[in-house]
Amino acid sequence: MSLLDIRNLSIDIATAQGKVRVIDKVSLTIVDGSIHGLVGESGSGKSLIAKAILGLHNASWTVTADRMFLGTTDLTKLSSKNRRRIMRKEIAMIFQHPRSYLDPSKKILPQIREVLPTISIKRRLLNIIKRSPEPSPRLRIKELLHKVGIQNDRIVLASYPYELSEGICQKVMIAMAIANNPSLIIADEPTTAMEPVTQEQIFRLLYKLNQLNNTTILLLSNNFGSIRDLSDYITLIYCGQTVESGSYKQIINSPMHPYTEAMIKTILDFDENISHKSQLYTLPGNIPSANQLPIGCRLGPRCPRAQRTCVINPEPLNLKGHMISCHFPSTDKN
Amino acid sequence: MLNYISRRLNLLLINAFILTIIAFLLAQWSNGQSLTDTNYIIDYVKYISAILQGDWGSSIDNRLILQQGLTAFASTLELCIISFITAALIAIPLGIFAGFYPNHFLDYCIMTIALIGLAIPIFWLAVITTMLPRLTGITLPIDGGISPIFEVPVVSGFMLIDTLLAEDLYQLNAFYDRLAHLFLPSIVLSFFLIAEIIRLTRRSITTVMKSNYIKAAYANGLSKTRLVLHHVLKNALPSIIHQLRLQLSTIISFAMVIEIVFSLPGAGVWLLNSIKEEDYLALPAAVLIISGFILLFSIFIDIFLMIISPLKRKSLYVD
Amino acid sequence: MRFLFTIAMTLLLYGCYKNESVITDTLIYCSEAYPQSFNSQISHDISTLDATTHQLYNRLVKFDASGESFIPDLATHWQQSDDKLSFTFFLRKNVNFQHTDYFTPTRFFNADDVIFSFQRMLEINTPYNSINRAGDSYFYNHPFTNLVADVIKIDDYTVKFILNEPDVTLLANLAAHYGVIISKQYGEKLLSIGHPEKIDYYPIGTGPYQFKNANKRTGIIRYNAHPQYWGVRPSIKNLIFEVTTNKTKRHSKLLSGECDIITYPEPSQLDKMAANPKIKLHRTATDNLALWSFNTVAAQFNNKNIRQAFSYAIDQKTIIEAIFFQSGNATSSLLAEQSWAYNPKRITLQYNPQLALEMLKNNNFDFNKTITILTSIENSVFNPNFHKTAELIQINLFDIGIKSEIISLLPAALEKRLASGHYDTYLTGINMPMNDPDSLFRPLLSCDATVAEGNSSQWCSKRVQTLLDSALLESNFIKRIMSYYKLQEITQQDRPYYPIAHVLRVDASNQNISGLRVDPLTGIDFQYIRKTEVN
Repeated sequence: MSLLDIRNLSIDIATAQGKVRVIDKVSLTIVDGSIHGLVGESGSGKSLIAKAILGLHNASWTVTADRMFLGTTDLTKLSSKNRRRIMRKEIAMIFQHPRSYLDPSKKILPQIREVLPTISIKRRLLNIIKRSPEPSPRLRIKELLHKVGIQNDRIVLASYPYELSEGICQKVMIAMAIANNPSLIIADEPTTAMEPVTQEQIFRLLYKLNQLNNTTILLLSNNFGSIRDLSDYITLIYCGQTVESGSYKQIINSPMHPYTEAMIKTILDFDENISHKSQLYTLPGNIPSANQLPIGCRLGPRCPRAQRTCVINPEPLNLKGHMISCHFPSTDKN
Repeated sequence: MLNYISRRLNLLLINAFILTIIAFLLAQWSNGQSLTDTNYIIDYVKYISAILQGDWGSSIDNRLILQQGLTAFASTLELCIISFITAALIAIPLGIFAGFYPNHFLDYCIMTIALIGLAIPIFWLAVITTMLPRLTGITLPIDGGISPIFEVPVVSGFMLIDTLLAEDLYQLNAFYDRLAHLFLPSIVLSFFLIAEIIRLTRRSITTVMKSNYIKAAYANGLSKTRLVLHHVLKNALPSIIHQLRLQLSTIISFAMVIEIVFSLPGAGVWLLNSIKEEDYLALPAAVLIISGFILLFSIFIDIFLMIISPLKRKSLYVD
Repeated sequence: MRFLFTIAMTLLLYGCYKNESVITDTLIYCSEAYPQSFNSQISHDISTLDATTHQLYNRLVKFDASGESFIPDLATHWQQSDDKLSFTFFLRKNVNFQHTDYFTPTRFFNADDVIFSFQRMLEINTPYNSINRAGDSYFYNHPFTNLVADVIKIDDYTVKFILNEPDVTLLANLAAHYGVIISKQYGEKLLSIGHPEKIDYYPIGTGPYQFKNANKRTGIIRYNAHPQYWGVRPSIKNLIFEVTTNKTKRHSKLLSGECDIITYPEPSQLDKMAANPKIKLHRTATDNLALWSFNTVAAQFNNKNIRQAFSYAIDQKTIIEAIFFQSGNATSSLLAEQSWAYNPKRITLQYNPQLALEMLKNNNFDFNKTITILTSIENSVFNPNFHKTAELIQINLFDIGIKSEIISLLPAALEKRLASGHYDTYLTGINMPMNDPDSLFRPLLSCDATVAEGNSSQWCSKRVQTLLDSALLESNFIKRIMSYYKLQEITQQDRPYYPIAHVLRVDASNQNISGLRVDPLTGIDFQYIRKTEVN
């Protein structure tokens, strides 16, 4: 049962050089209750996709998609008011550099209190009838913070964002995200600015949320290594095009796309013996800039297997849930 | 935070010291003495102690200069405050609107108005406004601080308050009359203030709107009004206030020019008349009063900014 | 929403504002300048006259509304002696002096006050003779003080004026602005507390309005109606003078309701004001004369032909149009038309530059010399714009090849320059203080008159002097008129002065004001004003 079904999402941005297609026919299918990793280098367009899902994009972007369904609701056809309601109840997002995403002029307590779900009048009446009062907001907030692993909630709640570390800020953001019990959490590189210990804490928290509440998590990352143990499904993106998509086992054991292979090769495995000052593996070349995107398969100029046919966009192939768009997939490890 | 306040007070003392030196030099010059007297340090100390005791000298017609200066300046302040309130009421919503919908047609209109307001010379606008009854038949007064019919005793120097205190004499007629006399001058000053505040607000708001926490607030599904009231304003305000604080001296000098045109009994007219009558003792007094006020007010603004903007609380150095 | 509501409420507050014109017992009069003092005995500028003569004081006699005959004021009737050397006046009874917070009278007005008021001017040895007198004022010396030998008290309500020579002008002198009666009790009280100068600055008189307070800085003078006034109590209870020196501002204030009556509006705006239905204009012909005087002692200007030539070179019509608009009448004579001594057979001034050039050439005028046109920086009632007039004259002179230089000075520097005599021509004016031609010709032409008093052409001619003096003493009216006719002929032939215009005094008031009276010699009179409600 797919929670989020996106087919052929394309985003055109109007620049000084004309319309640039930054996201080119990306397809993403997120299974309910799974952790889905969306991997791509910086600038591959992962954040754009997330923003497009939430509807946070600028007015100057043109977003087109064959399908963009959240459960059974078509996201493209919603009015802004309904969109907002969806955003609060179904999808939540957490960001990179969490401290800048908290209002610097307010303490944490009012900010969390803002996003707490409001108790409907019906429920209030029911509570009065049943004589079971709703826990006070303060108590609910305390619960939330405990859930995300913040023990000294009083100090945290009375602080301003600039007084807290990034790790705690991220936990607060996650607390705000789960306050409404969303079905999908989009985590946009949540741990990029943190030290490894805190990273581990955050990932463990996300994992716990996924296991306990069955929350689907879409984890955007530029680091293949950090998410590979966490994700059930992985989608790779290069330059706004989906490159390969599939379950974790499929990707790791039988990568078919040259980009995936390169990514896997770049994971540092400290068990191996790496000689002193040896060159680490990368694909040759750089990510093309937005106004010089290659035609067809955008990996073309860097791909070790590139041929002339690569100037045409490859059709996505679906092999038992393992999607790949390449003219020359490596089929040997199938 | 205490660090900040103490640093700020340090700056105040240094500024005040420099001010007193300037005032002392002016006083010496107006008395016709030159600096070549070797005991100028003693003179300076005597001057400072006189100032601190409240003896600022008397003008030609034997009124205390301190009294005169404070009353005159209070009238100028009245004009500034009324203009500021009017301007803020009009300009802040317009600026917020312009900041929220940049590149909208109305945004361009608002910014054009702001640009015109900044470009028009204040004295020209003031003179044109005095011709308003003649040109348009509006019967609003254009001269004087209050109608000569009302003899209101000076209690605080703020005529609006004094007219309210003299309620038993004239009921509220004097108060309304004072408001009417302030109306046209405050419109002239508001013109400039509105332009300034619109620009500052718009810039501040566009900066805030681009920031991450607003995006997060959108992502959290907050409605736009709630967004504005709770997040945007509070974060946009410090930079507006900070910039306005820098403009304070311009505002006061514009107010003085307007007073001269409209013959309001404020600091501008006081200084002009003193110089015309060759009573130069008013100059150092004016320097001390006006600049002293600006200094003290700046400190209050700084403290106020610290209260409302937690970001500023962690700053160590004064900017 | 709430914002808009509060803004709307605040704006509505302004609707509660009512203009002063609605308050019918207060009158605000916006004048041109602050009076020099509050006693028209010692100051004769128009602002003092407006502020004092009809408001604070009464005189023994005054002119009636038409200005031709004398009616009783503080004197109920009078008699001239047969030898015409003395006049007896019978004074009004039960007249109260004003009672203010700085003086309380304890008796009615009587002959002592009359004696006191006139002795101040006549008797050099009285203490008040030298108080507040800046130098020798003309009016202290002549003609009045030369005319009257003594004033004696017959009884409490009768006084007698003894004249030096038989003279017909006594009544006119007593009706003039310096004939005001001040309080002897007040004078004595001030002497006893050691502040005699206050008599002219904290005035006490018998007039319909009493002085409340005045502030030179703000230019506001307040009067209250005199509750025990012997005459008809004025309907305006509070009179306020507001000094506004800027003419355009006065006009705006009239329209905005801050002034009920204004004086001397900007001449160029007179057309507009006349066309405005909300404003009433009051024009009064005065004897104020704007003139251009030639320094008959300076080089070249001692030749009367050259002076005549200059008078042909000036285009008077343009000056009237450009400077005076509707507020001045072009004139060819020094004396105003309404004076009884006005000579109808006068030579009209012509504008004839060719003739001027010829005459100058014939008289060997040195065209290389730059002649000076001296004038005052501050404009006055004689001329709304001295500098512009000088510029127009300069252009006229330039057209016939004469180089000229305009020197405008502040009053202090001007006095010095005039006293030194270093000027060729002087653009100025003169005011006739009394309704008698002698008071015009004497300061202009008498050998005794100094430049400061009015003789800026430094004219001195025995023939003219004899004429002046004889006319003053002449009791035969016809002979007197003939003397003045002859005088005017001489001035027109010898041309020491070039008369530019007789100035009209214009006052403007709101439509709801009626009963305004303006006397050209003694100033504005507010007693009879009625102010109706404005709808």
